[in-house]
Amino acid sequence: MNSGAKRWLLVAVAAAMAVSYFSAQFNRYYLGIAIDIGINIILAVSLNLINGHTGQFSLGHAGFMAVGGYTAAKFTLELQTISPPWAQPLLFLVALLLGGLLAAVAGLAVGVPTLRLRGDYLAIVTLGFGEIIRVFFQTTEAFGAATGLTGIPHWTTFAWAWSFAALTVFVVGCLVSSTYGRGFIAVHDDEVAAGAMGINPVRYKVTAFVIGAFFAGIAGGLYAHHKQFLSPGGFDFMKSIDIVVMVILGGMGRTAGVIVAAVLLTLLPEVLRGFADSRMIIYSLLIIVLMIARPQGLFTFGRKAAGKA
Amino acid sequence: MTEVFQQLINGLALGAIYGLIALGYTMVYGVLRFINFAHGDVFMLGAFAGYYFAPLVNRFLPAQSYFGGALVLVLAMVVCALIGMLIEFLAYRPLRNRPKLTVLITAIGVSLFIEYTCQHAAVFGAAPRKFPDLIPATTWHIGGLVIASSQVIVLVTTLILLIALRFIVQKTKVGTAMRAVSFNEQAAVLMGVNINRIISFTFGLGSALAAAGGILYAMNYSSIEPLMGVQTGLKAFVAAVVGGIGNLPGAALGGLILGIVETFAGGIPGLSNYRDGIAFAILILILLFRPSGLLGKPQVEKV
Amino acid sequence: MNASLLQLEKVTIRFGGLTAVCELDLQIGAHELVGLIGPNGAGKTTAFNLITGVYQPTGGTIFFQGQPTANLKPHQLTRRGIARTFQNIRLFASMSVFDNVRAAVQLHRPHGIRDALWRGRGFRDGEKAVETQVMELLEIFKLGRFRAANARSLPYGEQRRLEIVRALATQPKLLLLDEPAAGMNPTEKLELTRLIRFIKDKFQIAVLLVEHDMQVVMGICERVAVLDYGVKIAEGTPAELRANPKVIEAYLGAEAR
Repeated sequence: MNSGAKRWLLVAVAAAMAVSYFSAQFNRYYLGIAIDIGINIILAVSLNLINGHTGQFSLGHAGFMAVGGYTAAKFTLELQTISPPWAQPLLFLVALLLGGLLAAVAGLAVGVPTLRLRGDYLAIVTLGFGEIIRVFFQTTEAFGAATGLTGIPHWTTFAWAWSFAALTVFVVGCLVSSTYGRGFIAVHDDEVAAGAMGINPVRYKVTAFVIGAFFAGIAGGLYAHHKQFLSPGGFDFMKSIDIVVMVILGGMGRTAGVIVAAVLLTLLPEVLRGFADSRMIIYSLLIIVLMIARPQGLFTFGRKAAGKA
Repeated sequence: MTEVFQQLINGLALGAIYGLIALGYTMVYGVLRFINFAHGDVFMLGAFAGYYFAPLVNRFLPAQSYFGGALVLVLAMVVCALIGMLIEFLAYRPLRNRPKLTVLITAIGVSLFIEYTCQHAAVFGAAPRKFPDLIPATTWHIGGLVIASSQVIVLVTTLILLIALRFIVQKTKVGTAMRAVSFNEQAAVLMGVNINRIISFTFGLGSALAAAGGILYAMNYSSIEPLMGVQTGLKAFVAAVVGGIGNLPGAALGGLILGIVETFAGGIPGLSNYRDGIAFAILILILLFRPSGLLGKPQVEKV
Repeated sequence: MNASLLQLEKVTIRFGGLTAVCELDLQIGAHELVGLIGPNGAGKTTAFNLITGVYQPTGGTIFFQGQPTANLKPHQLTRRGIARTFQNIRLFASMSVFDNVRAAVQLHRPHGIRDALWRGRGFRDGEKAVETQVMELLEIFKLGRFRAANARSLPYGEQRRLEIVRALATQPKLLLLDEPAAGMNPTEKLELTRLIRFIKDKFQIAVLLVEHDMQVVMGICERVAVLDYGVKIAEGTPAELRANPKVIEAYLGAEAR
């Protein structure tokens, strides 16, 4: 996969653009779901770097998504009127990257102080950080406080969402499969032994948080320009749990499984739309049953194949 | 100055409720080492149990009597104890000895299941309801202070329950077994402790306390809804961690601290909007400087 | 400074009221095989954790290559050339045999995140070099045929050997082995002593061996230090120690005299 990975990324981006070019032909409803899937793949695969590969169980991914989403949306709302129409894709790109960068900074801010924490404690503290981020947006007038931001232009196309999804998969996949990236998994398996092998656990943990948060921020920006409005309630810890469930069902640390889980779990509520009242009940029952029956993830058969990521 | 005392009383009442719920988190963590996310929902179910029991009790006892209120409280505690044991039996027991994260996610699933089921129109519905007055509603004016009877009831009830809990944990056989299990599960098993019974009992006890918390909360805030346990539960959990998870006095202490700080912050104009964030800010500060909580023992990893 | 590779000067560590290691002096030369023995709870593993930076001493100084090691983290010490194994084997459980060693090779490679993402020629050549290096190591220790197997699926003896290989992959100047003979039968122990001697000669490194088993230590070590209750009670060649009444007392109790 080493030399082919870059080519694979270009093919995926080109395919996303080609599909997007013909997207006017598609049903808007299905197109919207396809974009949702792309965004959820970014979220799940980036969280998988933190939770799955590096073993830092985080419940605050929605917080990073909120940082990216609000930043990107605010940036667009401020600048869209004064920028010429031809600059729109550039403006969007800058907005997304800015959102990603600020989310990465938030990732650093969460990753460094939580280094000493493990397992449940880490989960609950990251949850707390996520809630604090949400409360911040909920109380800051500049971000629309409790009402949120509205009137965000609909700029997220299939191409944007899926290109970034491909990029996320590429980045996480390449990192983890390289010799450098073995460090993430070493830290996950045994932090003390990793340290004894010259691997700096602190650096890897923080790196995982920063990269994971960056892509969550990008996903937030894409989400903002897809739904066209943002409200702080959309980034509560339920959203984080949705992403965590994708990672767990996909099998922690298994990128392919996590992608499939992201697709299935995005489709599930749509399939259950007919049972509007009870679909979330079914969803929660599904989580319980799957955890009891297949805790190692839906798509894992036997042990993880050696040498692959 | 009266303002400060007033806030202190309000804070104590809120903190006592957090403490009651926190005890359940901490006890379950003690024996099973996992966060029972559904605990906050048991708290909500306790409030709803009270809502439905109140009219039943009123059929043969005068409405708004202290005795009737106590009966409602006890009935709700019994029902929730059974629910707690049922949850453990159905969802957590099959997962015994599985990785912690699996159990954590299951607990989250159980929590969502309860919340969404209760929101369903055929169950409670999502709309908030008015909680009936269980006891004579009086307010006392002492100096400049305003004290509601429900606040006094909260403090008195909590105190009684804490003393009862202390008795059960310290003096009874089952309490000794609980402590043994949380100290060293394997050794406890070797000493002939029936681990399933103890875990079940722990869930029952914790859930009963949460139910009491739910009713006391509903008496003070008078409105109940199926999602009331989410934020309150999280904060109570924070209280448990702040006090040192697995430590019973710690949970009560953490609850009081959290309740008081939150109430005072709510009274400060600039901070009041951030009220919901404060619990987590405290949590993060505590864990950074005392990772094992205020009263918890530090754990050292053996190499 | 003198020429010793590792030097402990009056190193002490207290846990609460307990002095686990007390004023320990120890020197290891650049190409020496030294043993550290003592009854259970004598402070051997604690001494190990002090040398590798897991614990910081409450008193005294440790020098590695003439430099004090105070406040260095385990991974920094590994970079300077101290590698170790663990008493209770700590392999990377989700990785293959190959990847366990690969994870340990990475510290001396210049390739970081940027290269892993850009995947240029330098990176690809680097990854190939890593593979050759890892396979060479595995072949030397007859683990090549297990390369794709999960590390924890190996037989016990092979797991121990893999842990040693993984430590060697960090290219240490000093290798610390923490009770490598634990749980081995006599034949395996014999094989282990051969292996340790082979490692020392082949890689030209110093070895510090913490061991409970007297036979293994006495059989191969050039010099042995004896710990009892955190205090070094004797040091010398195996032959000298066999005749030392203090050592006999520590191991067999006072009545044995």
